[in-house]
Amino acid sequence: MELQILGIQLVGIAIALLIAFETRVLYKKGRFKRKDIVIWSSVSVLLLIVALFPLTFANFLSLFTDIGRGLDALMLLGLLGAFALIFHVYIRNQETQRQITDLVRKVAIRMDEIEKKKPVKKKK
Amino acid sequence: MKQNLVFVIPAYNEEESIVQTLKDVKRQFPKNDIFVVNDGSKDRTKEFAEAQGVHVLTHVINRGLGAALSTGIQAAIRSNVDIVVTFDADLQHLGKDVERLIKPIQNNKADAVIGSRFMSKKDVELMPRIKRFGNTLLTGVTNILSDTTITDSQSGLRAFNREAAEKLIILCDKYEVSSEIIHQLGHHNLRILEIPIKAIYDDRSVQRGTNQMPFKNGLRIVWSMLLRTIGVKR
Repeated sequence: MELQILGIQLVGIAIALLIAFETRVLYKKGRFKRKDIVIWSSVSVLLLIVALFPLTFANFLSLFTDIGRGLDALMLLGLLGAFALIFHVYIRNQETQRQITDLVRKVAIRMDEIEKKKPVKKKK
Repeated sequence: MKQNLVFVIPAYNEEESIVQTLKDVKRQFPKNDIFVVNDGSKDRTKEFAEAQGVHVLTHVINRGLGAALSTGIQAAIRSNVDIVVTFDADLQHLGKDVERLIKPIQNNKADAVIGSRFMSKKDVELMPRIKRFGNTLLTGVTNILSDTTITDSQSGLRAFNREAAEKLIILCDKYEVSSEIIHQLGHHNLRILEIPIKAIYDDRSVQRGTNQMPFKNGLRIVWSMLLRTIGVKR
């Protein structure tokens, strides 16, 4: 089978390679745990497969969905996946922001309590 | 029975106005505790406030108006407080309005009192047009989503009795807090009253607060209210 690579496939391959590269860099820097490297490496491999063999993958997907054309199924699932990911990131970000605020608040109140307990210095 | 009143004043880079604000409050209420929440200011707000002999709670980084108000209210509840008054640090409010603000709470006629800038026609006309438009719009949305009928949801001058202060669980860190407070008061079926207050608008106060990015802040407020209403934000 002759492999013809179109422009959009090149973009997909570039994104997959970029994710793989970033994952490796972040893991080396110690910012990614083993779990993260497994997840993001899988994402980049999956993206690479989809970019290299879009029709094969789309036809495979159409077997499991009721959407007639494989490419349509691929687009729709991709879009839904992206929405789910955005929502997940949004919720996680909200939670992180809340934790930061809680921490900042606890420090402020604790510091004030320590300040109140300090003995008053007598003037010489 | 004498009730213990505590002021909560959130402040972010307010070195130009904090001293005058505190002097104004202390002139009217010399014996009451004042909690200034220095919200990660980069200027000398903390130093100036401390020099006035008030409690200064410092956020090590800037977290926004909502976070600062919540810190101040929580610190106030830890002390033996009966009434919590929130007061802006930008000289927009007058200390002498507080006496009227707390009266309904002292007389057990309300759980929360909002100082409204929209109850006196003469004073409304002094409000910059963009601010008037934005406030009216946000108050309308807040009232619909909170089942309340107030005239000024974005006012920074408020008073709460201890019960209301304890029930407030502030989740919004930024300017959405004003609507969030009204939403929570409505949600808990607390008695809300409004009294007319006088607000002072100088060039500085007009440049600050929600006026910095009115469209963006307005959208954030509406978005946050919607999330709360549908239960995503708890």
